[in-house]
Amino acid sequence: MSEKSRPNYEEAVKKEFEITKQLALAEVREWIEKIPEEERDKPAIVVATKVFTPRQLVKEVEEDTEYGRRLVQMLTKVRLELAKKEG
Amino acid sequence: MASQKIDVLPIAEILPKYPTIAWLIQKLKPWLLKKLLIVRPKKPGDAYTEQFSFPAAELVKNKAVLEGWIVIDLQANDASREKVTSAITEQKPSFVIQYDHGSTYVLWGQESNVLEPAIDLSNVSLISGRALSTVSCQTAAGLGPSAIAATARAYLGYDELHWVHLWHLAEFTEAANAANYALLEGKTFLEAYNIGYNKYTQKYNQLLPVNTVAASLMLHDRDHLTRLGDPSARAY
Repeated sequence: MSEKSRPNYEEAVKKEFEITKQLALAEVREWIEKIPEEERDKPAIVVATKVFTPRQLVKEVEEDTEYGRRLVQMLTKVRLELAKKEG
Repeated sequence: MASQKIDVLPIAEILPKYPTIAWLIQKLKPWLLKKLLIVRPKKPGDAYTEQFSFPAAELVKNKAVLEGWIVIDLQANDASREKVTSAITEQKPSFVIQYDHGSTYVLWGQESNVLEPAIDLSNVSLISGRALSTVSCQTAAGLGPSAIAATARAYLGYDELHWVHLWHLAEFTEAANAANYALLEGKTFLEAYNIGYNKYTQKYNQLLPVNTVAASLMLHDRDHLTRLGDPSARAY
């Protein structure tokens, strides 16, 4: 592989995180679509002194906030668990 | 305003017609050893304590009374640092249970509707010789090891944020309480940890087909339940 075509490590990691985020985002969007419209602004998740509605949660993931990132990690873990069972 | 109360089973319910010495010793044992301090703030407007941790601790208290524990219950504004300190130094509980917020080095309490550190690095020696279990965020990553270094017998808590889905409170409460029920029944910290872990797994499997996000929180809580100290220690 030539020096030019070799992927930059930092860029690759960034790109991989973006893939993970998009997978989680798809998961959260699929989740919110199953929730009736009138319930999407109801408090759903509580952590520390924070409360998130489903709509706020999607925003947290989209905007890559601390809690959004944590949710991405948690959903990734579920995907991993499911893959272990399917394997 | 909530107050400090000591709850025990009414004596008429436990006294047989002809008590034997062995029976008396067995029944007196709790008075000497099975003393539990529950610390459970309830901050107005705070969803975690109002909707989850405070009512979950109520169930733990009921279980403790049924199991013959003497319970010192510090609720809401009575869960202050001052009252926690005096309850531990004067009542000498063998077991402390806290349901509230936590951060790496602080188990939070409450005074005048404001959260305040109840136990932190400067008074962690209060836990020396005792067992502690907490349903709160993060303390098993910092305060827990410090408590063990200060000769606490065992510590059960979470080394990461503790998440709860408000639409599945029953499942999250059951999972969070399972290990504490086991400890109140006299199981070891290792056994209680395993029971708690398995309950989280069971609830995760139940939630997975219903609500992926709630299931992911349950899995996270399970994987961050942390046991420190002597695995064979019991709560009394």
